[in-house]
Amino acid sequence: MIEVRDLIFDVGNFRLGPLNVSIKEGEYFVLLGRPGSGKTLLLECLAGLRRASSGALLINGQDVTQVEPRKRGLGYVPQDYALFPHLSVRDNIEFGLKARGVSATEKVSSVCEMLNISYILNRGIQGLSGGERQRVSLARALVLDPHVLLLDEPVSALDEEMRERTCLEIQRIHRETNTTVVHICHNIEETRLMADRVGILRDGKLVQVGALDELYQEPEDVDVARFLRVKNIYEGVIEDSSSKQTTLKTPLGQIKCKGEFSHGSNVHFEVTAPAIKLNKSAGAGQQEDDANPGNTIKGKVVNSIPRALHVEYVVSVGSSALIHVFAQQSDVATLEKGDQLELFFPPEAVKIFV
Amino acid sequence: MQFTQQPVQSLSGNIFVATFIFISLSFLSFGVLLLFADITFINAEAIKWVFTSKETHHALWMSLWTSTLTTMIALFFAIPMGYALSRYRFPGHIFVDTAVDLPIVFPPLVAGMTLLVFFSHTSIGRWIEDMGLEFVLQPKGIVLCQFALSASFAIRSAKVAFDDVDTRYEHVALTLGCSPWRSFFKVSLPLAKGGITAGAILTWARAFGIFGPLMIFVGTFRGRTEVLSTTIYLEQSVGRLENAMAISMLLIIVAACVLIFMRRIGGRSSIGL
Repeated sequence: MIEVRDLIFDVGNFRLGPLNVSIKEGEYFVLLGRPGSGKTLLLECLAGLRRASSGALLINGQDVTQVEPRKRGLGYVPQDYALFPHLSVRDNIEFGLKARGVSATEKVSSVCEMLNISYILNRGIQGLSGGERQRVSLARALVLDPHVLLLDEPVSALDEEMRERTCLEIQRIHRETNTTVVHICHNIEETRLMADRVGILRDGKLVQVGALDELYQEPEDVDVARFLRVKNIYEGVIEDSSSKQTTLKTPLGQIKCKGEFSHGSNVHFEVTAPAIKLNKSAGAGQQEDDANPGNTIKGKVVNSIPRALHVEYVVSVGSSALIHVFAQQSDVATLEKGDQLELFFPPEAVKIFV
Repeated sequence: MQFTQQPVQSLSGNIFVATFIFISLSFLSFGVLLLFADITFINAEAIKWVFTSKETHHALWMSLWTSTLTTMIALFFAIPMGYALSRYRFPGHIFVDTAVDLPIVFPPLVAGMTLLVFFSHTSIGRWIEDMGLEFVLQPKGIVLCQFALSASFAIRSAKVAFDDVDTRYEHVALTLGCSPWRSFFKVSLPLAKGGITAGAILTWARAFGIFGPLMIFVGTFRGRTEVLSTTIYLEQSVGRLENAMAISMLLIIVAACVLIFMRRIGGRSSIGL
């Protein structure tokens, strides 16, 4: 288990922290954040490669804040792998064992078999493919049986197919070894594939921690929602608000939502894409009346993107707004670019970011 | 002539290539012409003298061992100093960094004068001499003089070489269980080997060719503080120009052989030697 308590690290004008987070034993924790948010700094602090300005770091209950990197029992796979170019694959993998004075040929063999790299053991580093380098780097860390594996964008240099395959492989290793993993990335698909829990780092601060679904359902703020690539986020002004219903003036037109907000304030809001229903012919849809107090807007299909389980339509509304709508495969044949249509969504589908 | 590594090019492209090759060949021709002039000046008697005279043998041996010892001492200081300058930022870093380069740019005679003044006119210098470590007019002084003038090349090259070694390699080594010492010797030093070798070559070459400051600091005593460049001066000063020229050729040949040998063992360096 990793416990970070009020950890602060200052570098120049940038401050990482104060950070507080607990990562459970055997958990796969993904650290998400934009470039420059401090992800690599945090990982380097965990690895002991940077001295924290204040705070404490506990691994399995032991305070390791002032402990040297070599005594922390962590495996570190940096970005671009940093394989030693003057050593062979075998020497790279055995490097940590030799440094600890351990002779463990069997361990090397079993890790290499698990990662399927036995065939390149005697080769140099220069001729290896990206995937092979990544596996050698993982083997170099795993051969030491680390309590915690720190992965800094381990698949960012790989092509899409190799990335997915490697992610699955890392996940398999994680399951087999039950190692706690802290994995840095800025790719949502990769996160979806790997993470038990996710931490979102922004400007050196952990703004939200939770399962990815929880983050999608209740993003901390509009920036988190945007970072998670949540669709249909707009700005609006509260025109009228009561305990029953609120009316917003937005680029989509007048929108009704639940909740009470102060009149005249500017807000960001999301229209949940799966909750939007569509009708091809404008005027034939659900009518807005007292019995059906939802939002109905008219638009024109400008693009359709086939996804695995649905089709995503991009619909232009008014002069410049675009809204994304997810439709089932059965609806695909009925809609083409340029088709006029009517969209309906209930007030509950509108989430205001406070 | 085919340049397979070059892109397809038109007439202007060919003129571009030809211009650069022409300038390079002009430079080379100048060197060859000078060498040719030297060769025509030497006669068989001078060559015989070079191979048979005790003075030449002594000077050659003295040049070789002093330059080699100087290079080793320079590396002993250059490797830690180059690493420190590359990795650590400390107060006065820019001053130290500049001071390292000074001996490269100031006239070599200044080093000879400085050493002479230090050891003969300062209390610390005189105390060192009194302790039995005599440098002025002594063979040991040759090494000190060469070191003062050539160590900068080793330090500068080592710094550049360590700059080129990504610190991530060292970081990974630390997380894999290395102490800073082991990380240095197993990762940083092997990766900087090319640049350090280049520095060693430059240091050796500089030490091998030094003359002016030696004349001031250790004098030109035949068979005692005589290196090859001193022999050239001594022979030329008594009018035996053929002998001086023959020694010059020997110096060029020995220097070329040693440089080629060091390049072979050191591989291609990071500063292109």
